[in-house]
Amino acid sequence: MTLKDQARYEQKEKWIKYVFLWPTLAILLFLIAYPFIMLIFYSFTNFSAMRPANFKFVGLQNYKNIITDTYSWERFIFTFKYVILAVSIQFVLGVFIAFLLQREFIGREAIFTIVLMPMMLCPVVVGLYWQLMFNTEWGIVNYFVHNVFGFKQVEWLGNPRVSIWSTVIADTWMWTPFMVLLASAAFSSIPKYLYEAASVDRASGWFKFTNITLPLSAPILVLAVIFRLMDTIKQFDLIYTLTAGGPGDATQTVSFALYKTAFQYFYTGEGSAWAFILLIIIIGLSSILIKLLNYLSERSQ
Amino acid sequence: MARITLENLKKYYGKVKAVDDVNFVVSDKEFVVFLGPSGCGKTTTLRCIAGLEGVTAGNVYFDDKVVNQLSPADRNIAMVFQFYALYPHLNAYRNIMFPLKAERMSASEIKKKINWVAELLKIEGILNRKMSELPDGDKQKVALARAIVRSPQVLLLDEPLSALDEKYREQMRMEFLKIQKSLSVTTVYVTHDQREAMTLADRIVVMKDGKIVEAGAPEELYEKPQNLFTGYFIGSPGMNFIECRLDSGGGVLAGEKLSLQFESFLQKKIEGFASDEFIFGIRPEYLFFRKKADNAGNVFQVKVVNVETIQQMRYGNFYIGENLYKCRIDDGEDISGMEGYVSADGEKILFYNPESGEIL
Repeated sequence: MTLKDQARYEQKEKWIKYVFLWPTLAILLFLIAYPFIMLIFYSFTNFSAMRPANFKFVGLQNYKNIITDTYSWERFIFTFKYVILAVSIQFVLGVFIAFLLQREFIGREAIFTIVLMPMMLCPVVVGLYWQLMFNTEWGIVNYFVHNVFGFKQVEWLGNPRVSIWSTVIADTWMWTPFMVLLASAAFSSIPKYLYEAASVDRASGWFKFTNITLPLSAPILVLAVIFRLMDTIKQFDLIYTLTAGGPGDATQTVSFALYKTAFQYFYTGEGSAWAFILLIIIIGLSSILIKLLNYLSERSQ
Repeated sequence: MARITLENLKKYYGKVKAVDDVNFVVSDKEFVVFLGPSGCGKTTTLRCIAGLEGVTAGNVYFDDKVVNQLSPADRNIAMVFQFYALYPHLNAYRNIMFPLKAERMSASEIKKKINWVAELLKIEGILNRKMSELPDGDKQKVALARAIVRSPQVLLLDEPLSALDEKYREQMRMEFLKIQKSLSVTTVYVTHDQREAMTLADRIVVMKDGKIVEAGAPEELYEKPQNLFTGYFIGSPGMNFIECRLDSGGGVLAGEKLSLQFESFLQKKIEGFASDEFIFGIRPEYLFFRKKADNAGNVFQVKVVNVETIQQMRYGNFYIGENLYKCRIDDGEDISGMEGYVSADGEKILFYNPESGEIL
């Protein structure tokens, strides 16, 4: 190949690059960038999908409505509690189960597979199943509470103070496996000789866990928490099928409020404002955690 | 300090006999190197001494006490691993502190100990550095510091230099030697590098297929290997082993006539051996190339195919039959393709039983 041929070839290469690039870019622009811009735009209007023709700019009115409404604050507080409870319980349980599954025993693979199963189900189905199991009169959970252990029947879905725990339990049941999966991957990537060195150095099991296992798996564990946080903050489907946001408004998350505003009342403008606020929260939280992640992975290199 | 005794030590993984009936005594304060090709069982033996592996049969004694059932933590040993096994998120100081902290030693005592070991290994300057910032040589120094900081009774090293660059190896070998002598700690060192073994060991244990082939001082194993495998494995280049047959006129090497001068001591070596066939062994260093057959004894004619330099020594390669052998060339001349004679230093010739591989 002469130099000239090569130059021509490279020219052609450059051109062909864009042929492959553009379709994807166009789809992304159409499906993400355009809706996003429209979302921000609508959030400053009183646009409703029911009467799309006439709408006007209302400035920050939508945001003001949300921020000044006690209902909204209750949604934020519930979501905050729900996320903190669910993710931290999943984290602790997941790490613990992964730790137990580290050792070799007969049937380990089978148990591992069974443990991972809930994660593979559809959230809507999980919500429906737990709704049945939480039934006050004939649910399996109360069967154990009442008939086996002799306690008073618990109104899992009817009592506003209990229903948050019902949602946390269902979400934890479904997503602890995700933590187990990532924690197991993190644990098994730690070289065995570190543990051997530690056992020669007379370190206790707890010492090994806190000084080797946790620091070295921290980046992946934080990553798992980031995934779960982002997912739980925008949780909707599981709660919708489990409690339908009830009793009353008790288990309505921010996403649930968004859904109600945008698709039940068809205040599309205000719904957009909800969505934008949710997005800002998720981005803010994630970027803090990603900073932590970068710090941790640098430290454990 | 301790004496380590291995008594009929066996370690099987299913049908694989990783360590197969090993008997050996490492004396107190001795530096013993287990040497052998990969898969020979040397590392498994070390791990059995450490307690990282349970034994299938046999006993490990520290002094007069059986330690089979003791965990590594209870054996008062320290170990240096091939890949350092340092904790990457801790700095050098904290890594060295690790075993002391696990012992719940007081802060002032910890500090005193670490200062002592840092001075000994000359790593004072890197104590605050993170592991990712340190070159490999320094990493292994930190690992060594961590091992010796709490004055163990036994120091175990599992191929500690094989992950290092050549330039660090030389330096670290000297470091190991110095430390071992100054601490006079019983040391077991595992390597596949015979040069390492030669420089470090008080005694070398050559292993193959889970068994000890031979054990002895480095010079002994070099000058008079009791076994073909040892002769081949120790020394670079390894020993020449040439099939040899005796007839009325003298020796015949792989079909070529060899005028062996049967001085009395050579006679003595093969005396009493039933067969006429044996193996003639000589180190390339003791096999000299000559252009002319200037002396009468122990000479045979060869054609040198090429010349190579191994560790500042020039060697000529030549064939006898199908097999390649090496002889020493003393002058700088390129003698590739040249015909000539090699003469063996009669005192250095060894004869081996071709069946058993043992020396005669």
